[in-house]
Amino acid sequence: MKISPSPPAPLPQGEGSQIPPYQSPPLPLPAGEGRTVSPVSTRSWGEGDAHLTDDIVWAALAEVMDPEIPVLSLVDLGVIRAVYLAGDQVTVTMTPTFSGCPALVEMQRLIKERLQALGASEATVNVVLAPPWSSDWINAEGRRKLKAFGLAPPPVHGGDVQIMLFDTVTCPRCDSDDVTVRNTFGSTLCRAIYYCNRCQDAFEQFKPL
Amino acid sequence: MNDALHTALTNRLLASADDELILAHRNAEWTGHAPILEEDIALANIAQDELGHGTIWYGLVEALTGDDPDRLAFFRDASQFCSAQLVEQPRGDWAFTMLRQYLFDAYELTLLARLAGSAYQPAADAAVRMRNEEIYHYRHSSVWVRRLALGTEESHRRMQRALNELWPLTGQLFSAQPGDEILMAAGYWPDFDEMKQSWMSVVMPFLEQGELVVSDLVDGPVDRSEHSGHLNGLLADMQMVARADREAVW
Repeated sequence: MKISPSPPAPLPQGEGSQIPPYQSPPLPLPAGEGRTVSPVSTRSWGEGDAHLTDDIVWAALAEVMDPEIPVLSLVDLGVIRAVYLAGDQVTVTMTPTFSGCPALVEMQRLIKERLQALGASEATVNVVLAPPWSSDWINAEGRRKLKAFGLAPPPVHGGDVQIMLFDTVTCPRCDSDDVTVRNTFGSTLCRAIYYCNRCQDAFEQFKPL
Repeated sequence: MNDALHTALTNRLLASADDELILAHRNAEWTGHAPILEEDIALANIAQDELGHGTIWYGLVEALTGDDPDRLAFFRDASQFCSAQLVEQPRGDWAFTMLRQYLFDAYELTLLARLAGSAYQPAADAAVRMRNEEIYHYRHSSVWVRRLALGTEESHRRMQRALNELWPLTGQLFSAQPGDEILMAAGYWPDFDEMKQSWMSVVMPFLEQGELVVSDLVDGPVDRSEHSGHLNGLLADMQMVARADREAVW
């Protein structure tokens, strides 16, 4: 893989700082394992309450698709971090992917709509920055769907942000690793543009983050 | 949090937010005008990332003061902005834009690496979120600076000219503002002198490898309330639509 004619300069590090240097994000959790056990409701069940459970809510969220990659659900993407149930009131905690991603607002709207359709009397979406979303959180199913969609899945980097930029990328069509990066920026914030020398055609990669 | 700390933190977060917003706007001016399509796309992405970072910083300001980020961005005058003069400069040529981006990316990475350990947890969380995105920017801008600096006679001349204009403006990024000493004492914000040393230790050898000569010009501490003459025009352009209908909902 050819990246550039000259290697990039070393990155400024945190050494010598009064404040401790950068810590790698915590090891990623696959979607689902980030699930939090919902607190037992102290409310008494009355007539008309929807009998929502953790599993029902997670299954519903698995049907809400990423607006920019419509084959990938928000659960596959790993942005749903926790679901809290209090009777028929649902609170979902999510993390944004890229900071400037315009799909964030749309995702919140889609989650609320889906939860209301499910019978939630109140649907709240909390957006949290920590721990920061990592492309490592895209689950195996999500990676399979990305490839089928024509987007090369991001390499799993375990939080090592230096290595992730140089990892091998394979063509989603022919699996060749004889590829050339054309642009580390693409049609959306989460995509890079590659060229497959075997297919002799361009393809996009979901960028590691 | 006492009043002095609250005020100092608000000002510092606002400065970071304003830097990101103004730089994003300058970079967005290239959309449709970059030398090649790939670069048009790349710079639009970088601008969108910086805008996203600005949104996060404005969000932290809002959490402290209740100020709506959109009002902060579109309804303040130049005198109320805290942006650095480096990011206010017109986009110039490609060498100027790439060198400014490089100098700023190196500064931002230096800052974010330290802020990740801030005692103010929301700033630490924000820094960790942004840092991986900045690495993409830094790679991109540093490769361009090197390529142009070591390219043709003309590209080198343009890069040197850009450096002559930009270098004196970098000092302001590392000059502490009134109240910053309170932030540093609280462990909320890193030490500016140490940051500058670290930044210099990365930037100087890199520029020398590009056979670029850094001028001896040393600027005194410039308050962030002092702006270049370019900010007014930028704001007039950026805020025009929002101010045309103050009550519009977007």
